[in-house]
Amino acid sequence: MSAPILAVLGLRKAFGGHVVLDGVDLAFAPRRLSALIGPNGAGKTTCFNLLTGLLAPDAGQIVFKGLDITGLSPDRRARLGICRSFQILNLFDDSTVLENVRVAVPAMRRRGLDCWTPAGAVSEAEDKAAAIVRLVGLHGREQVAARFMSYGQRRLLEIGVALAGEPELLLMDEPTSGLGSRPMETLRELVQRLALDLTIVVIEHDMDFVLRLSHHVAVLHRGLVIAEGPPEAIRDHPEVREAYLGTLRYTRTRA
Amino acid sequence: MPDLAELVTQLLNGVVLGLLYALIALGFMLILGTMEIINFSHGVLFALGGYSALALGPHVGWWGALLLAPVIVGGVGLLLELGVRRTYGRDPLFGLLFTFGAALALEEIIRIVWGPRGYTVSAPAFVAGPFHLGFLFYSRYRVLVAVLAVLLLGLVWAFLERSPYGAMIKAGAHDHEMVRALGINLTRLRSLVFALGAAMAGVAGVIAAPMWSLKPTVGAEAVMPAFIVVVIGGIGSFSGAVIAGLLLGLTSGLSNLLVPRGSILVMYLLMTAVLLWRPRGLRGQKSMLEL
Amino acid sequence: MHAALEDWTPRPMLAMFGVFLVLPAILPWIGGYTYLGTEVMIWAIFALGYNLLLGYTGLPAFGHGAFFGMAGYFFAASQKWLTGGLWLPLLIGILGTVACGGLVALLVARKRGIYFALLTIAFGVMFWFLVFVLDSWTGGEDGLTGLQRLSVGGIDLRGNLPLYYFVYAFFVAASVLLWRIVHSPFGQVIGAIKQSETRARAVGYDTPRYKWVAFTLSCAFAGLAGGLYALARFGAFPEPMSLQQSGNVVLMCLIGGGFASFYGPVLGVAVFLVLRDFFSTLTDHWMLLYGFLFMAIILFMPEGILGVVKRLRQPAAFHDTGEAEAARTGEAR
Repeated sequence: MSAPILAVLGLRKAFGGHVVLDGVDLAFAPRRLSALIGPNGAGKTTCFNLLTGLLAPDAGQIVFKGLDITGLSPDRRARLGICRSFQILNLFDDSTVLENVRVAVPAMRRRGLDCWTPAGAVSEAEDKAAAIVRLVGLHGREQVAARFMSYGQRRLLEIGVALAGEPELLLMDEPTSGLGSRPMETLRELVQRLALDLTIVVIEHDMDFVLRLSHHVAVLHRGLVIAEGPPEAIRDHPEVREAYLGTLRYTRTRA
Repeated sequence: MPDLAELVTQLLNGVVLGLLYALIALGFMLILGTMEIINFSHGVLFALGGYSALALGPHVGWWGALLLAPVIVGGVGLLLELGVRRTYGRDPLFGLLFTFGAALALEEIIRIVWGPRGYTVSAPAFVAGPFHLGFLFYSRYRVLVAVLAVLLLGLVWAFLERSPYGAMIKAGAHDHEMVRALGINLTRLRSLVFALGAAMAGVAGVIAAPMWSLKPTVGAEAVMPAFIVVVIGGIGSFSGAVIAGLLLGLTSGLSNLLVPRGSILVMYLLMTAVLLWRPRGLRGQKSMLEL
Repeated sequence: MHAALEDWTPRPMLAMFGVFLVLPAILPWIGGYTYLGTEVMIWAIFALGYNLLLGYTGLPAFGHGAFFGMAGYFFAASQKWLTGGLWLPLLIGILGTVACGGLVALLVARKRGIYFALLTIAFGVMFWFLVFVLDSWTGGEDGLTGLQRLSVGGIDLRGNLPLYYFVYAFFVAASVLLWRIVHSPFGQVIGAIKQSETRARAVGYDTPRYKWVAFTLSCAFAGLAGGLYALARFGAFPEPMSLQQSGNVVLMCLIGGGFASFYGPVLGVAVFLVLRDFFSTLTDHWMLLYGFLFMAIILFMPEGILGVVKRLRQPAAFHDTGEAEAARTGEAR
């Protein structure tokens, strides 16, 4: 692998006496779609929280593009190009779709302390936001308040907000959770397109999604990486099967 | 230069005051931790305790008042909770404002019933007069206050640590969903906590009454140190409240000696210093209450 | 197109300006008096600025009365001992308040929710105590009196009417300024912080910094209002700094509907001051009514008057139920 865009070394996190991550090493190659899978409670979301800076690790290092970001704040990391969509929807519910996306756009972010210009007049931000809304398939709903949209639409918006930050690394936490088949298709296409330009790391339970789209899979179980490799190798990996026994969700089985 | 007797007296006063602060602050903190409500009426409930003692004293004696007043004030707390409960789950400001309004109304009720002038409540006869402590004389009543405060703090501690209700309160403070899932009646728990917190303020009011003159605004004066204690001690920490209370009491006592008018400001300096050094208070844990 | 004007003063605001412009003529007919109108505008400046913090950023600051009050002292001290005059004291009133506000904000900007509220209360009360401790400077309970309402452009401000229009000019300016602020990129950010501070951080905003700015800005408006108040009353007094008065401005914003509308605070101030006058004629114990009013509003009408109006007028705004249904059926597995 060429220099990984994100490398995690010896990441350790415990809550009280409960060890969630017990020395995790990971490396993600640029412009690849990697999946982080594992049974519930394996520590995947905690891992994301550590990567994005919402939590501080007890030990270990996180290196992004050669820069040690372990001590940086979440907003600093976002500005460096790491954006994240949340497992539990975290939208600006009273704002419109467009406003949700627009506030995350760097063109708007740079002018955060501007107290005078009308927000709508920042045309660069407006255009970029409109493009993102189109990209995630919410065109026509720009003026709808986020709270009034359907669950599937909100999921798409959730990703839109993460994308708006023009990330180099996009972290998606269970993006397909609860989605019906139509939005799922939209999402699959979107992710496939995005994977050409960005590095994406996805936490997912939907094995179909993982197997079809990812280039690389890392399996987390009880706070440790138990397997890593291309999707087919992981699917047949005995330890992985054992860890997962009965907890995988298939929307379509492979022969 | 203050002499040794003065110094020791003030230090002892500080300890007594500190224990009282801790008691008041704990009741406040229980409500804060369990329901995330800043109970503005806490001070007025403290005052109500004192006034209840004033009213009941002639009939049931000092000990009777000590037992009855917290029951009465706890009852008022129960009533208040009936109103506050509509604000749970919303912006914390609403709970705060409700108790703020309640504080204003209650203070005015006190004024209507007892009038705006101050009353002096005398200490019970059996502790009248001073204690001879070697080279100085110390008020026997204050010693009683200290003993009672320690006893009450111990009772509350035992309740929180050893009883099932206490465990529920401690759990409820952090995880409402889990508490509900365990089948604990959250509504009843909250009523209990509010009543308990109010009762603690009330009992503090009874025992403090002979020390401070009783007037309608005494509540406002008592509630501010409670806020500061909670900030310094850290939300959610019993030991923090006790330590902070004592710290505050001692600094208050000392500054009374050296900088009499600025003693309240010294409290604030202390709070600011603690905030800068330990943003969550001395023993606070990271909670949902801040970033 | 009206777009350009809308950026500065949308039509409701123009209407509001119109009302206040002619208010002195109307007031005597409805049992009011010019000075009441002046008070309303002064408190409205304070409340509008405060609502930037409360309604727009979602920060429950409690104890802001301290900033309103201290501005009066800065103004008064300035006019009496430092510079005399009118404009410099007003400016110093604002600057002094902003400085104190900025310092407090440094300590509270990393907090939120009730912890934030707790700290702002504590500091608010601290300034109140400071006034009494420094009573050789502030005059303690009696206040810092002996101020003069000077003249502006040859018009003597000692008359209630000239004072009214003097304050009116600031009221207009403050409203326009605040309107620009809440519709600017900064306004978008604080709105995001209000709705989800974690998400706002996650998309790249250093939220404590923005909270600091919002807090300090609100203190600037409090500073302006406080200076004008001292001017109007010929002196600076401690009672606006009391915890109770801090509660007042919150109630004002709430009654009017500060969470629902930009204009909420103005309406709230008007309602509140009228009620205050009314209650105090009813009984000496008006504080009791006032306390009950507080509780009643919180329990039954927390979204305020304009909030109720909004809800009645637009019950399902932007709710594209048709689309939602279609999407849901399409989502069925």
